[in-house]
Amino acid sequence: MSTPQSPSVASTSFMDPKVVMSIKSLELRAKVIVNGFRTGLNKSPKHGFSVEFSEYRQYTQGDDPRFIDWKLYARTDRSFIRLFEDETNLRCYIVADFSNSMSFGSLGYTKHDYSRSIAASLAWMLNRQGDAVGLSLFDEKVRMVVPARYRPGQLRRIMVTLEEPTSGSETNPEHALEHAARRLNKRGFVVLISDLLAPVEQFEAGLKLLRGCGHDVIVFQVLDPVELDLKIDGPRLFEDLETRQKIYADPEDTNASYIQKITAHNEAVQAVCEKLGAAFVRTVTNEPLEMALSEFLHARRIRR
Amino acid sequence: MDFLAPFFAAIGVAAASIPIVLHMLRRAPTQDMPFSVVRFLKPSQPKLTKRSNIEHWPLMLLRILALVLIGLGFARPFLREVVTTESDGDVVQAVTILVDKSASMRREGIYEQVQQIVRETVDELGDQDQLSVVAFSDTTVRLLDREKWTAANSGERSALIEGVVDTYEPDWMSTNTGSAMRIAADELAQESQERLNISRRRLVLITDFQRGSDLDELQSGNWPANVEVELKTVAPKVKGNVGVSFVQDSRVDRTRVRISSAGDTVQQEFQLSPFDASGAAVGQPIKVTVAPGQRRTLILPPVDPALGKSVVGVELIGDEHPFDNLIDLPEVENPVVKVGHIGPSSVNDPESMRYYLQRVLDGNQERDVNIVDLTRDDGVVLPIPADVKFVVATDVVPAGLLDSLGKFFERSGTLLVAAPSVDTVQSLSKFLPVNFEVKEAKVDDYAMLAYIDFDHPLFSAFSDARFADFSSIKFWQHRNLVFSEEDRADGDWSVIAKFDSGTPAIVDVSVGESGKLTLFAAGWQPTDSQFALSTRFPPLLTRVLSLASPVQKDQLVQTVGDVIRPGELVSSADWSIQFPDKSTQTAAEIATLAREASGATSASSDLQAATVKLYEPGRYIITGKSGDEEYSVLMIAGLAASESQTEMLPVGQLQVLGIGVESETNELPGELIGAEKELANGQLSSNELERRQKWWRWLLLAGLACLIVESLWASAIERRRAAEVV
Repeated sequence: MSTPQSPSVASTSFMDPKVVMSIKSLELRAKVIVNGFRTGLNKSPKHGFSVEFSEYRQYTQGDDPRFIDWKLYARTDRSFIRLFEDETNLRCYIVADFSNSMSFGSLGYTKHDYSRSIAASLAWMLNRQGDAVGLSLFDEKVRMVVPARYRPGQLRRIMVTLEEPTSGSETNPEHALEHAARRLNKRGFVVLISDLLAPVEQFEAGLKLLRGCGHDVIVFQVLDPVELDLKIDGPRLFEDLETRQKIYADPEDTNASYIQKITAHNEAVQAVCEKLGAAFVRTVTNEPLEMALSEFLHARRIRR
Repeated sequence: MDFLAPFFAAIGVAAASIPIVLHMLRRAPTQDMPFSVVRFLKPSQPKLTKRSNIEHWPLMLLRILALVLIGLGFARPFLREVVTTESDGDVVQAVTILVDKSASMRREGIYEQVQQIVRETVDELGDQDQLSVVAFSDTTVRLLDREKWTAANSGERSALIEGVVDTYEPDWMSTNTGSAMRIAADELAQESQERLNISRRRLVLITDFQRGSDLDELQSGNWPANVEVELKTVAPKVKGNVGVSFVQDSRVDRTRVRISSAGDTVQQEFQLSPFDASGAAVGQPIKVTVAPGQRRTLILPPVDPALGKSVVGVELIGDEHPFDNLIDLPEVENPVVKVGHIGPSSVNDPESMRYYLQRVLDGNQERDVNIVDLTRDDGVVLPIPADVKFVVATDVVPAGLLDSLGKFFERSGTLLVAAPSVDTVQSLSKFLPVNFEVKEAKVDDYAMLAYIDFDHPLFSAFSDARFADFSSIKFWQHRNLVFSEEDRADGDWSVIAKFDSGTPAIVDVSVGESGKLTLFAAGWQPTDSQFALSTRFPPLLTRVLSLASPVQKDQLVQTVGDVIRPGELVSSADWSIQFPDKSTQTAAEIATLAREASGATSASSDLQAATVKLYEPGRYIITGKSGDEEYSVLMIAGLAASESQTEMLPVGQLQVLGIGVESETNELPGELIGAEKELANGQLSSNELERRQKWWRWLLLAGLACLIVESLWASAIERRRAAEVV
């Protein structure tokens, strides 16, 4: 098998993903990625964290009497309670694919390693900004959920959850996206990280629901270079990581048709994202991880 | 080179072509590769490439060699020309022919086969070979000595063998094959040390190898490695056998017999025909159904007393092999015993002695007891019936009964008197010593039995310390019996037990020549004592009954082969024994014969301790003389039950016991014609040659060695190839 080469990173200020992936601690890795990305950017102070008054609402039985506005009561002789803006200005859900197909990797690390590094970096960055971050892991169904919060220990919980190994016999993003739509009762931001090799229809249905609820969505499709070009020497007995199906194939024979199929699939995925107004980023695992952060902030800026 | 299983050699050679084909063919190397999107791949056909040139010639040859060697090993090869044949002058073999002569060898057709096999075995021997012939059943008998054989010339030898064949006759004993084989093998092994020129030791076992043979002896110790066993089995013309044997019953008035059918029996319906002393059938034959391999025990129906006959044996009809179909049985003399009673006949009054007497005798396990009341409540007195040998008196004996009692004593009758009053004892004064007095005893609180003569037959059963305590029985009142010491010296009376006051409690009095009167000085009913309520009472009363009225003659049941001491059975040194064939031998004659047999010269021998072995089934009568009196004991010897188990054991039974056996079944001796016989012999010698040479071990070892070298070589090539790729 030919070893896919990383794109030349010397010309950019980003780090070689191989070096970053060699850091064992996920939290430290996320910190390195984010700090590397921030180098050169103006560090912005925390903003948007305020306890600003939002509106009044008539007091009903069961409300906490602490929030009754007594001055207003004195003025109007009616009980109102004061509602405040949320503590954070962004609620973000990272929906990460943990199916077995993510355990493929030809660069010494897997797509799973790469995608959770992205997830960890995003979580670390958002947490630092004071935003509420949640996490949901899925294979054929939703496996683990960390609700979106901004509070001490939240980042730690996300990091620990991200240490989970891959599982499952298929990938179905529909359930995961539907679940995220239910969890986010206010408008929020959903980051989907997956190889999206499942049938497009499932993905489309989930994405449609999420967009229908008004959430902003950014889709990271993480792929290994070999998955794109099938550059392998000699015939192999290919074993599907999820279904365990075995196929004897010679890349020499099957390369052309494979590339045709995978390209058509990827284009279909991208088309769905564009049609439904979700930001789409295809990340190949030999690309620097910081690119993902950059794409995220870009998408975020557009959505604001 | 020949093969015992050439089929495996063919397989080995055929398998040798496999490595050649594999070396010519090469499948496209494939590696497993886990992948994420297999569904986008198009399957390809695996490609096989043919090569005209062979890589790794030596490796291929090594693989071929390994397969061929292993195939040859399994084919069990042997070389004919290397082995010296038995007829070679240098090889001397010691052969012991062990011939079974147990009772089961009496079956029809076996005798001729034994003769034939002995002759055949001897014919195969060379001039230098040494032979001994031993017959065995439960013990061994030497029919032909090795020294005699060695000393004889060829003419004398054939006469010797004919002599052996003629003298061979089955006996009635059980089969102890294990012991006989062990003795013969030890003797053969011993000779290997004494005679250095012997290179082969063979034990030829000629037997029916029945299931009933005793092989226990072979289980202990190791079989001598240099003694080969050749098993030559014989079988009767008709398979199967059914035997009948006597089974001891808990009740002596019942006769139980067991019919055992061997596993290979075909017949299932049989008849049991009881016969009397004259040999005539008694009653109707009894139909019995016994399935093959099963056994059935049945109780013979009692004989109608009106016939006036008693059964002395039973014959099984319907079996092909009569040797175990006839048994002698102990005669049942008094199936129901009668006991006379003098006293109130109130059976249901717990205050009366009759009440307790009835309960004890009703519970008799050995036989049924009828109590005959001799005095009625209306005063009528019945004479004592002639078949009553035991009478119990629990009250005053009416004067009208005294004459009848006198005759009863003359008939060796026994009277047990339990005296509830002084009058009871006095009513019997006619039979008691003249200087005898009786009066009511003064008992302060209660009396106990203080002295008991445990040597007396009445109490001998209680002599063990666990049962010897009679002190718990309290006597509220009793009679004082006063005898004169002069009479005691004459042997007229003897005290069996005494009260704690020293007065006699139980006394034995002799009446006339053979009559006996046992006198209890107290009643056993609750007003007199606690005797009837104690656990000692039933066995004591049963003991009195069995002493007074024995159920049958002294009959002992033994098995053929047992050794008995007749002198001790009749307690006399002057005895004689009558054998089943009615011949009689005295103790002196038997002792003389024994002395001659053992070669002892000393004339002094204890005739009472002289032994007799029971050689045949049937009735033995041992008569002992003591002064003018004669006393006879009847003994019945039956065939050992194991002899009826005639189905043949598997030949592997000896191999299980660690003895390598070369079997030659001789079931159809007459049907083997010359060519077939030679073929059979050839096959046998092939087996033997192969077993001696054991080429297969070396071939398998060489094959395995080839495989090990091949594995190491192949892995080295693989490593080198991997290194080149990197």
